[in-house]
Order: sequence, then structure tokens, then C-alpha cells
Amino acid sequence: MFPRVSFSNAVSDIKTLLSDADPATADLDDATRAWLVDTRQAITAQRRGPGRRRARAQVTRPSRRRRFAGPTLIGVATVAVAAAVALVLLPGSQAGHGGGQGGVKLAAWSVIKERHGLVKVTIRELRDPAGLQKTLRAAGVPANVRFVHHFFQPPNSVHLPKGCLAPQMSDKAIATLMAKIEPSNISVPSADAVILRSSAIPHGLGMYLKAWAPKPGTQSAASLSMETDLVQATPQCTG
Amino acid sequence: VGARDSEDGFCEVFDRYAPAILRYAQRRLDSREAAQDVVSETFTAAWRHWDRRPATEVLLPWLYAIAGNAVRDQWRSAQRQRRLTGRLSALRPAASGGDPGEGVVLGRSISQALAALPEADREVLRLVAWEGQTDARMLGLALGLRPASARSRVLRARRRLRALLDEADNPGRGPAAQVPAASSRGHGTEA
Repeated sequence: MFPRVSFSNAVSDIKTLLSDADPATADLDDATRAWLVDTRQAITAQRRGPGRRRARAQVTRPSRRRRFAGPTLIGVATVAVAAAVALVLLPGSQAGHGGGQGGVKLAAWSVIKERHGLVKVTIRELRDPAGLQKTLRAAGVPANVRFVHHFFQPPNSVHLPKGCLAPQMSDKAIATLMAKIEPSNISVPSADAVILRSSAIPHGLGMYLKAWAPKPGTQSAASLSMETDLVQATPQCTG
Repeated sequence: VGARDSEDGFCEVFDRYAPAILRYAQRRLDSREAAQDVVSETFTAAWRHWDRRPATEVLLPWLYAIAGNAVRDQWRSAQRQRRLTGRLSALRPAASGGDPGEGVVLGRSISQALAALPEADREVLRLVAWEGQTDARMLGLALGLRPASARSRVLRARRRLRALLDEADNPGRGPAAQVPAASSRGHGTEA
């Protein structure tokens, strides 16, 4: 058993033990410095605010679970969202705050049925998941919706929620099906949205849609993220 | 604050901290492209939230916290890729714990000891030793923990690391401290 040490002694000991093992001590080369300049310019060329596109290109990943949203500011709604091709708007819960500065008050989430059987889901605040689940069902998307407050995505989040079962399919088949449900060739208009092709969801299956963000009022790394997965559409899971 | 001032301030912070965030990512990922993605995602998020950024003195741990999320995204993406392609078992039969961070090359004994620790312990050790986050408050911000919890985690991680190194130096004596199997649990949610 080791004797107890003070915090400062523990810190010193850790630094001593690991100092020679640092795998990233080399100076940045010219190519990396140039890349950083390009990246900075690409980022600042974007307008600030929630729901903006990522600076880097979206890379399609052959993943069963896709996380498509970058961090999105919670509770400040100053952006008017244009839905030029929207045919039917199914508004969700109204956001609790308007963000001040004369900002536009947006719904906490919205479900928009678009052309070609597409359904766009936008989440701005983690409010009324049951309402979103019900609205998605009305739009032809059986779903289990979970909103959780986490500073980080919990490491065990890959587990499906209680009451939900994974489809009896291989990972490869699920990835193929997910690519049809979330077509990669359709541009998602903002980082806090996902577009689903409801007609591609086979009978008996549904979507698991999870969104998480830090607790309201916490300052560090305020972000809202989403992930989706497939589940068996059962009364216990998708209602 | 005008848009021009905001952009100038952001650019200043980017120039000051982007190399640190890149190294942070390189220490946790074995792909140059993935590390660059982390930098891009971290500062894109910071730019979006620039009006709500924390005080200057805690900007770096704030950026580490955002970068931590991006790194974990990269890990998950890599794990999914391996699972889908089925290559993992063929190419890395001795892999343990499934932590992509193990791909980073370190000194042999330290590497083995770190690999045997839970990810939560590894992360706090990296932050202290390599990112120089030696203040409990800053560590807490980077980890999403209260300062007291961050302090406890440092002490625990150090104790476990010492125990593993001692065991490696004196095989057969048995572990000096109980070290649970590496687990994916333990990322801070105690904010």
C-alpha cells in the first residue's frame, strides 16, 4: 500500500512519471502551421450562432450510429430558420426563452415533412421528448426519443434504452439500412437537424433518437448533440 | 463587442491554443487526420459559442472539454468501423479493452501501466502530465467535474499508476493497490 500524498506531490509525481512518455512533443511543421491558418479562416468565415454548418466537410461514415450534430448553443434563439421546401410543419414545444436582443422565439424542436417522403427533425432544446416522439409517429416515423443532460456523451450511451430491442440484423445490414433512412446525399440544413426517409423504415422497426447536452446553466462546452439508431418498433419502445 | 473585435479575439485564442488542442488530440488518437478533425470541431464549436465563452483564464480547459467530446467521437467512430469491417480481431488479436487510445506509442512500462488503467484515470493523468492542467479547478473544468472530484481523481489515478508500475518492477508480489479492469465508464458527469 502506498502512503497518502498531497495533491501537489501527486501532481509532481505524475509529471515525473509521464514526462518522457509524451507522444506529442515535436514542434509543428510548416504544413501543419499552414493547415491551422486555413482552418482558422474557414471557421471565422462562418457566421456565428447555433445550428451552423460544420467548418469541415461532413464525412460519411459507414456507421451504425451516426452522430451528426456539432455543438449547438442551448437557450439562445436568434436565428430564423428557413424551410423553403416545407410542406407541412409540425411545431414542437415552444422554447422557454427567446434569447434576448429581439431574437426570434423558436420551438424547442420541430418536425417538418418535406418532399419525397423526407422528414426533417430539428432539436434546439431538450424539452418534451414524449411530444416529439408522438409527432414523429404522426409523421410516419416510429421512434423512441430520449433527451438527457450530460456534460459528455455517457460512455455507455451505445446501449439502447430499457424496453427497446435491437433489430435482428447484422451490423452491416443495419448500416446499409441506416444509409437509406438517413440519405447521405441530402444536405442537412443545420447541425442540429437530421433528415429521415420515413418510407425506408421497414415495418416493425423504428428510430432511436437521442439528444444530449450539458445541464442548463453550466457554462463549460455548451453543446447539443444527437445520435440515431434502429430499434424494434414495440409498444414498450416506440409507443 | 463588435463582430470585428469578436473575430480578432477568436483568432488570437485560436493562434494561442490550437497547437495545444492539436497535441491534445494527437496524444489520444493515432491518426493525424482524426486529430485535425478534433481541432476543427473544437474551434468551430468555440466560434459558435464565442459570445458565451468563459473567462480568459479558463478558456484552455474549456477548449479541452470540447476537444474531449470530439476525441470520444473519434474513438467511437473508429470502434464502429472496426466492428463493421471485422478487421480488428484479424489485425490486432492482442488488443485489450478496445480503447483506441492504446494505439499511441509510449514508453514500454508506462504504456503498459496506462493501458491497464480505466480510461477515466488515464485521462486525468494525461491532462496533468502532458497538458499541464495541474490546478484542481482547471482540471475540473476540463473533465466536467467539481474541483474536489478532480482532486480525488488525480490522487486515485496516481495511486493506481504507482501500484501498476510497482507490480511491473516486482512481479509476483501482487498488486500493491487494487486496480479495476479498464472500463469505458468514468467520464465525468458530476458537474
